Amino acid sequence: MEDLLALFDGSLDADSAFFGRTVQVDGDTGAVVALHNALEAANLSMTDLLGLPLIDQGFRMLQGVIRRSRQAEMAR
Amino acid sequence: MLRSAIEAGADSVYCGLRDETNARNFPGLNFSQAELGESVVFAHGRGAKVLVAINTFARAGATDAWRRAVDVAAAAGADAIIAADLGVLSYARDQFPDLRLHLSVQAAANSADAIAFYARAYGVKRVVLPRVLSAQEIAALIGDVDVEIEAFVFGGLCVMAEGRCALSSYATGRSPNLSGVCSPPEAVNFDRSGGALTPRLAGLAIDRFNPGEIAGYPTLCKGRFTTPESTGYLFEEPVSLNAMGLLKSLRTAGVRAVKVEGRQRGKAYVARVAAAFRGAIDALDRGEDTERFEKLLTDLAEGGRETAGAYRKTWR
Repeated sequence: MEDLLALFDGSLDADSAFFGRTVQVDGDTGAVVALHNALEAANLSMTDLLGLPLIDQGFRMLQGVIRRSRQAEMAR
Repeated sequence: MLRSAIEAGADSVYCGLRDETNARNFPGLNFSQAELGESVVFAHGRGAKVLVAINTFARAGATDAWRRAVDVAAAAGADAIIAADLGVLSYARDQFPDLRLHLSVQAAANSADAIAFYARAYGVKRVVLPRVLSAQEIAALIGDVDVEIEAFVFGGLCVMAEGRCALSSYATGRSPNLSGVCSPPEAVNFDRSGGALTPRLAGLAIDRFNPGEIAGYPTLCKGRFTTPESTGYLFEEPVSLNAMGLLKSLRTAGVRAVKVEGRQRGKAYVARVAAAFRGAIDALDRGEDTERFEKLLTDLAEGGRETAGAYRKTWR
């Protein structure tokens, strides 16, 4: 779920997720590519996706924490 | 995506129009005429440049699209166009003498003679080198030419003679240099029967990945094939270029600009790669080394693996 939301708001790179097998592609690949590019262009935030500004703030904080911990892991 | 790149510290962003005139002709990607104009205003407001890739080869009998692309880029106030086709270059030179011309990697100009020809005939100011030269070869080349040299430092790799790849046209009837795509998405499907992932291009199996195995793009050149001698990657392995560790020697060699492949990716990729290279280049400016930036991007690599590419390549 976290990955799906991160894909929608563009904070997770979809191609990397595909290489790492987090994302599976079925059916019409052209439609999948078009959807990906449309989502990227739309600049959606969590507010747009869930309609709740508080969730947006909470999610951004959570994302920040996850990102920092990942960076800390990589820097090790 | 352009905004993400500039906000992350890119000095220039290259982009294309939404048609076959550029080598990333994917559904939903690229700019309309109006969007290009707005993007140029955004970039210039932040001191960044916009370079428009019109880098596929114009098709005989249908060259209007390429002429129109040059007209649109010039009208939008683009800082340069990046082209490979002689017809596109000569049209831009004749119609817009003040428009800066960069020679695309697709032209595969890899000798001082070839570069001098493009500079003399079309007034090309910068040449993007094909990803087949070693760092030493680049240094030697720069000594022999008097145009700016740009080199790729991150992202996908093409096999060998760039600009001349017709491999995918055998499967789909379309090719990167004519249609702007090597695996048109509508010709790709992913078969997951039997537990493995089998990407197919126009019905032809390109590879087979076991569960959990890191995958690559569904392109023929990165496929695994069986020949009488062996089974494996025949043309190129699914790896990404990361020449972060070579930035210093590229700078010493006289490379004027470094370039990141992947404008088909997304904001997350663009922002992270641009920020890492901005940091590394600024570190070099301060006389520091780039080591702490080198491992920041590994998870973005195709196939999950990175290579220094031809910059340190040995032949098999």
